[in-house]
Amino acid sequence: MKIRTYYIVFFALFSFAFFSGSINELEYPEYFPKPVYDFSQNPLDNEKIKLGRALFYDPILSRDNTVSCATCHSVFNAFAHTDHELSHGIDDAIGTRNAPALINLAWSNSFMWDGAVNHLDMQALAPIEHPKEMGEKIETVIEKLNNSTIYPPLFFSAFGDSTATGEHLLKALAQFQLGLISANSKYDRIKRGEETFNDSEKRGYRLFLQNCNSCHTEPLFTTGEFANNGLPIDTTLNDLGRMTVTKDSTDAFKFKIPTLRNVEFSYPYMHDGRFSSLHKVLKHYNTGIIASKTLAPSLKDSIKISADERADLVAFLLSLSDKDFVFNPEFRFPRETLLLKKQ
Amino acid sequence: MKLLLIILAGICFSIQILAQEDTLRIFFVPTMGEKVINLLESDQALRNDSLEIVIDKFLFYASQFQLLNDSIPVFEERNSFHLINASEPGSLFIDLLISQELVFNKLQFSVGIDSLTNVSGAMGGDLDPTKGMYWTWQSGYINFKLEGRSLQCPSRKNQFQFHIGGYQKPCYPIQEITLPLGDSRNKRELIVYIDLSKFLEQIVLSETYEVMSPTAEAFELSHLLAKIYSLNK
Repeated sequence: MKIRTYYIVFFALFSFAFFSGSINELEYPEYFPKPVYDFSQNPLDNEKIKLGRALFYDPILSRDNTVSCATCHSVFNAFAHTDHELSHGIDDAIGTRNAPALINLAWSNSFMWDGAVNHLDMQALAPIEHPKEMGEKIETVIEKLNNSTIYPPLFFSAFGDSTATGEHLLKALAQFQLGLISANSKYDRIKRGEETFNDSEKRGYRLFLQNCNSCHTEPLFTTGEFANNGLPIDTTLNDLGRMTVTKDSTDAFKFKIPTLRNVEFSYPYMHDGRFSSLHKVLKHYNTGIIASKTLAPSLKDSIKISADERADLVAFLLSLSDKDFVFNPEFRFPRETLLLKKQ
Repeated sequence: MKLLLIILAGICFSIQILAQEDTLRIFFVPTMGEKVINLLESDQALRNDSLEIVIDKFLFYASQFQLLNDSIPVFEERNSFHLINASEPGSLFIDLLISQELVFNKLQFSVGIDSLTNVSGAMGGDLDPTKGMYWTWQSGYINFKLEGRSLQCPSRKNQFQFHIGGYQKPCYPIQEITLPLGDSRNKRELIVYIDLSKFLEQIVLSETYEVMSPTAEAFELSHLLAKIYSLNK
């Protein structure tokens, strides 16, 4: 009996060693800063990424199994959503904020437009339990995963334990999202000396450095901080932004500064999706800024640029489009994991 | 051969150390005044006549366990995070592995989760977010959760709900509890009583009955917690 037990233990250890994924290093350009995500607590692993990708695309995370993360974060829109100004969730509910793009998240230490979430691992809890997004309880998600035929082997391959837990679910989802790195736009190729800007892009880049770079700082094209960019208050929402979290009136109407990478694909713009085009965004900075106590200091004087200059700025912004990112087959619905196994 | 002897010596030393270790079991007993709260009873409730209060749910995190001799720490538990849940008898005690010879006269622990742990991502065990003690709409652990009913509460079903937690200053509500005990020799069991009436008596339930965010109000309530824990009545 004892010898049989040893065989079982040996076989289990051998299987885990054989099937567990290889460890990856996060690959990013040398001109990027160091990521802020602590990989020592969640080392990248192919099997964990595979599990995270399946979870990201699986509506099992929602109450009625209809809404997945990808419902609001489509790869073809740089993991944002273009059909709605405000996020569209379970039971056709409309939320209060625009689904943000998911890009280069390893460099972010606050999430959501108001920074309510302090760690990438914990971010998924918010949409899973939000009554207008997935409307589910995390405890029920874990129960559903443990009762499924697909997930126990995926959890075993990823974590050496076939039982799903909240910790493992969240770490796997984080792993998939950590891999969503966009660093092969024309801007990046120019940084690497492989291409050059055309004249319009060059003029746009100069304007960008003069007027935009203090908040949308390259190479990530965000400082990751919060700012009031002078939008007129939408009285149908009355969204106080960062102040909702900090309860500090000096944070009123401040929202997370989004990255400008892939802005071509991630429309509509702003926390409430009010602008449908980049030209409308630039018009706002040109003539639409509303002064208030918390307005970003860099916007005290509106950005004075001509229509031609706006066109140049847009030309530069389009150089931040990374087609290798939005058309990356490894970021798409994992057909082999989710569909073929269900058949 | 030399290496083998060193390994054997190491194993013997470890066995000797283990043999000298002992378990200190700490029980947590929630009460309302003199009455012990037993949420496993059929009605899962306890009534205190003076306050007309029924307790439905009571959980808290006990962390950073230390034993002190006067003010000097002589024992510190590693990865010390315990979810104490009045509805789960198995969670109402913890074991500390201490040296048989350890002399101590104070028990110290914190009610809540420290700020560093709060910003360190997904955790397992008692810190798993599926335990119902993590806010999903805004990051942060709930340190202390007390739910029940009182006729004084003008809320639906006369419910009160206190979820005290968070991790950011100026409303950082973790509370350090230090409980003096007599002679520690031969003490292998300690009972920590948690008198919830001392908490609820300080609150005007007709006015304050729903505190469920990491606010200044929750921070103020957290200061009441230090007075409700006592040792060995």
